Amino acid sequence: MFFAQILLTSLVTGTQVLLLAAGLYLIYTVTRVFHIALGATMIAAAYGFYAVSHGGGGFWGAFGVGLLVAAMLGVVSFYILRPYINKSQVLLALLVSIALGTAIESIIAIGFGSEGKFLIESVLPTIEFLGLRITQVGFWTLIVGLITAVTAYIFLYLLPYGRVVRAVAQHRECASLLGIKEKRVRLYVFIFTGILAGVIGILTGMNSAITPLSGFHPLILAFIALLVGGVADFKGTIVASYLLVLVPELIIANSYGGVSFSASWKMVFVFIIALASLSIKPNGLFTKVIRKT
Amino acid sequence: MGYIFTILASFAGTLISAVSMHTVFSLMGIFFLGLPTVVKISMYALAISQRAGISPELSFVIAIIVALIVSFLFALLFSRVSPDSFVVLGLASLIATEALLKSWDKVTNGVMGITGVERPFFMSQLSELAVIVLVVAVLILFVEYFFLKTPAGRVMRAYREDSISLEAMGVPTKRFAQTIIIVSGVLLSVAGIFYLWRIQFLDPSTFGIPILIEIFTLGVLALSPKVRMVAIAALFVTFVPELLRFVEFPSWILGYARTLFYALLLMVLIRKLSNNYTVAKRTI
Repeated sequence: MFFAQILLTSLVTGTQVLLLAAGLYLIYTVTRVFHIALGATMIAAAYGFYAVSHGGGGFWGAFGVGLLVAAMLGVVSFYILRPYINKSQVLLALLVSIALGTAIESIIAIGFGSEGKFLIESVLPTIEFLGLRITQVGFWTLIVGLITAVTAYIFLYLLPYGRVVRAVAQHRECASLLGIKEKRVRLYVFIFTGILAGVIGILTGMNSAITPLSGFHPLILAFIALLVGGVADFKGTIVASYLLVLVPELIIANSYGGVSFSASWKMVFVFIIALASLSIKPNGLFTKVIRKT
Repeated sequence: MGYIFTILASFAGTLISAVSMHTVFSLMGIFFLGLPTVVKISMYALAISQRAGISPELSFVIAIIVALIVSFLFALLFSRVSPDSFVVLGLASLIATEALLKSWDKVTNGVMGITGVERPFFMSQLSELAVIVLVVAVLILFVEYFFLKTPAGRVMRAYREDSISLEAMGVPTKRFAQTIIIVSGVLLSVAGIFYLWRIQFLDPSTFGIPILIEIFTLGVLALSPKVRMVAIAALFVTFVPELLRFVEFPSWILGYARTLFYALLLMVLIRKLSNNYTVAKRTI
């Protein structure tokens, strides 16, 4: 039962990581840029929700404003990163994205203060089944994860516009030649991933306290999942997202006596796993090595 | 007078950091985002050695050896993984190190940090510290100036533009890049240790993301291969944010305002200077 509870908790956290990694993956496929500011977008949406809900705006009003903030930051990110994307200066774009994320976090800190904020101040309602316990927010995270996965699959693989996105991801010049407005496609991807990050930010904020810097940690976890899984292989990212959450949880839960570890060691284990995995399989868990000439 | 010596020591430390960034980022084009991790670990090595009763001078040697080892590990990683992975792992190392330093409280004193870090006897006063750091910084700057004129220095200047041509000429580019990663790690650690001796306090949040933004601002400002740009970058980064002191901000806002300033500055600088960074395509 203890193991099943850890599995369930890891499933919720792993889904959060996976959703964020999915956003990073989408942006990476159409721009070849690792968009670090997505963590700040996520937390900005949560603060947008906080501001409206504490101003008496109601849940759905606050949710809408949170997503609007996230979408706007998606647009801002796109226009700031566009010059580097066009010139294929991907590492400079990454640096700009870090600076943008830091700027957003600093603005939030100046506006709201750096102390923790709770989106829900009462005790979190929980759901019990088969002796296992999950918070309602955790349950909704799983539902959102499932809906997003199904929608993303239908959109990318079954709808015509999904084919357009994949075309831009594969060869942007060719896509342009076919009359596809690749800049617009990228803009939509940035807005969509911003909204996705916003949803995760609000759900995370409902589960625990948020601070201006609390988006950075899950973002790095999502990045590691993307790298460990392989940037060109989303199946690997799905497996890596859950493994990177589950393995440290199991190590911590089973440590006792002289070698007991607290929850704050999690990120250390994640880093060790990432180092080991990337040293052995630098191209991803399931990526086959292609012979080079 | 204390303010002048503080700002002088700060400028000298920034100058050493600027040389480190100039070598690894501006000249070589390596995005070594794990640099603050190297500095943080070496600073902790110094503070922990002192807590164990070792003299400040010997602790310095230990800290530099630790910086060498950690930089060497990053250099090994550089040769194993893709540039993207190297960048992200560098960032992840910042969080992992902070988590480790917070959690391993028997050794690091956790979130409380380590107070009362002693300075060596010959720089017990702030004025002595400021002068010594400045002398060391100027020496390092001169060494870089003369090094850039040597054949190895020319390799360094050519690396970012065309590493494949260098390889064709028989230069072991990967080993060269690894050496520069180690040198820049050690140089920034020296700056970090001087900073630690100045403030005499260390906690796990020291040398985090704000410092990363600050050192990359230095690197972007000093994109030109000329050494005088390093000094100008250090002057700019040290003195311009000092103007914020004269604005009536509450003290808790000041740190964030400074970080915001550097972040915006970095974005503007990259936008303005990014054309210098990429090699101009030769038209035939």
